[in-house]
Amino acid sequence: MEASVKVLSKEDSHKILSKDASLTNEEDRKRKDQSQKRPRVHQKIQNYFENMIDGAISPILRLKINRSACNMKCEHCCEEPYMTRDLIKKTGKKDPRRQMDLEDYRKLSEEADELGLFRFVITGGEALLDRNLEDLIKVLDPYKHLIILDTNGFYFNEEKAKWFAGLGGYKVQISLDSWYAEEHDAFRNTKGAHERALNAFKVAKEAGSEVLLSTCLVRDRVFTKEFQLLCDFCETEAIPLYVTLAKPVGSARGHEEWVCTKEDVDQLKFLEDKKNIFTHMTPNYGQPGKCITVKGINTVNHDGEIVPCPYMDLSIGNVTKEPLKDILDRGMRNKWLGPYRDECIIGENFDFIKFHNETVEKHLKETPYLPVPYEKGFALNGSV
Amino acid sequence: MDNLVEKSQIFDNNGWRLPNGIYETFSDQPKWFFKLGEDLPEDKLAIDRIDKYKNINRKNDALEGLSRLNNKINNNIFIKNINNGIKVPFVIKKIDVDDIGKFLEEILLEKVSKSFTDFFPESHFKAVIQDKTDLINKLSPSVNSGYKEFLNKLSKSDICGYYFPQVLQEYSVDSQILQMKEINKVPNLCLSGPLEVATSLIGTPNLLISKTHYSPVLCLSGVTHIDERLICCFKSYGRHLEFWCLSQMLSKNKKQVSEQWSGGLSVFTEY
Ligand code: SF4
Repeated sequence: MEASVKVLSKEDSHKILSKDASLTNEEDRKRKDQSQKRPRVHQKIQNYFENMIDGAISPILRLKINRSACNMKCEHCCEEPYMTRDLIKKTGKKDPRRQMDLEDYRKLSEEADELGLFRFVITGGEALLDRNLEDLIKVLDPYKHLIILDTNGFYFNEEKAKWFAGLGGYKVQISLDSWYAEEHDAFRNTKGAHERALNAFKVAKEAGSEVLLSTCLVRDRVFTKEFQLLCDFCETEAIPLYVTLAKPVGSARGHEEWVCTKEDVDQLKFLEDKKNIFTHMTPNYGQPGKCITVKGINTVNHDGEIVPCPYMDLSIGNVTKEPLKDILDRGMRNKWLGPYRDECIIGENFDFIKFHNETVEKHLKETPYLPVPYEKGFALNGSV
Repeated sequence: MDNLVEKSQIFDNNGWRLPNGIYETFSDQPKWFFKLGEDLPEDKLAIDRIDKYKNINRKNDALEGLSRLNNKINNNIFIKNINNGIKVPFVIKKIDVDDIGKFLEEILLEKVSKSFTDFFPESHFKAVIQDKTDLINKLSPSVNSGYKEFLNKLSKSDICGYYFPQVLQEYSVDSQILQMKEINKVPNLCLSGPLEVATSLIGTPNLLISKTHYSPVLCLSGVTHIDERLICCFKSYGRHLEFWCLSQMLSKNKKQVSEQWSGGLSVFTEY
């Protein structure tokens, strides 16, 4: 299987790769595929590639749906404070804020299309628990956008796999926290979770969807035998391995021993040259590896608040109240979020982590509902 | 150096160029989150390594030249603070470079790559441009940067000097260039560009590699790309070293002002 980053042999490594030549064969193949299956997506990818030099961005929009309802209860989950079960425990009632409805999602899809965005990740909690999922996929329009389903795989059986592929879904992203079944099941507090996840890969592939194995890395895991076995599985099954890194936020706050160090991150960057293993910071589309706040992935919370990184709890604006374009522009001008930087600010920059966690703590004293609105969080940073 | 225009101090105690209010910097005072590598080699070792990959003339004379240069900097009250920052030695053999992009692409990058991957056999060197073709005929000395004078001097004699990589940490590329207006009367000082930064990296291949810290992006702002949206830089990626010709646009009408991006100054002398 091809490595996720293109590097020339040592003898040729000084030779300059143009933007196009820096793409891997796999990136090239996927792009060509889209020119047949989804011409509008292909056109948007080409436009982004052309306009990148002007600072154009084309982030993924990650939709948290269905109040983040989930069938599991994972130890590391950052989503718990957004879930109804947690809010009921704390306040006796569910989140009273207006939730995004299908009309809001239709509008969001149109706005995103106009801006040249081409990817939606649908996540929860567990997205498959949402009874309106089919309608949601349809209003997002799987021929205008690549639809990626993020799932723990428990309910993703053969029938679901065919259903998703039949709707025009593009990719299924399945989480696996350990190659060892007992560890994964214990972590997820769900017996049989490992077995079901492995089956989900199989049926998704058979149905013709792209697949991705997503795993959360805690400190030193990258150096373990277990991680090596997971990599071997991905290699044998030709499944790209997407690695997320534990951050000192959410339920990992107070678990400093989970948080990855630069050495872990460097080891991953080292493996990217050899295997199809990557993080969301890995160089792609002719861009260097860097922190991708606003530019790479923005989460759309149930109530429309846009959060510029999957691990943050601070918003840059609400898409039900103002245009997506204005929100993204504002995010790009924010001192922490817009300008170029290599490190993961929520995982590795202690000034930012302090600002983030203190702001969240202060907010939670006033209200249990996250994320922190723009005016009370990011607006307090300077702009460039 | 002796003719330095006498004016107020221009570098702070960390060897950082003091902004004068009109320069665009990320903050008023860097927090130095981005650090250069540890255990950088002594001048002699670095020069030996440059010699190994670039074959220089009269190594001992070069080392003496560097020592004299160092004293000159220390004895000059206006610029001596630059020496509080980290500096990296370079030595370049007399050469007439009329196409900087071609020279970088066809000669220098290969040597940087070789020196780096010999030093870190497990790591990669990689060069990418966010453009369709190459660097040939695309780079020229930035206005007022002193880089033209640097190249002139190099066309007449062997040169040795020091590259100060973090003097202009947090400056936008435009401001890195603009601030030279104030100091371009200082002889033998220029905004750093591809020739001496690449040579410094050949001698000091671990300049950007640290186990614990992220390193600055070293902008080569002594030269300007024909497409002014693009800049050239060296950066690390984990334990790897990369050269990028990168867009400096934050958005269509706004350029980057990044905490991580740094311009350098180079002080040099013939020997
Ligand atoms: S802060 Fe970290 S997790 Fe968030 S976008 Fe940046 S690199 Fe990713």
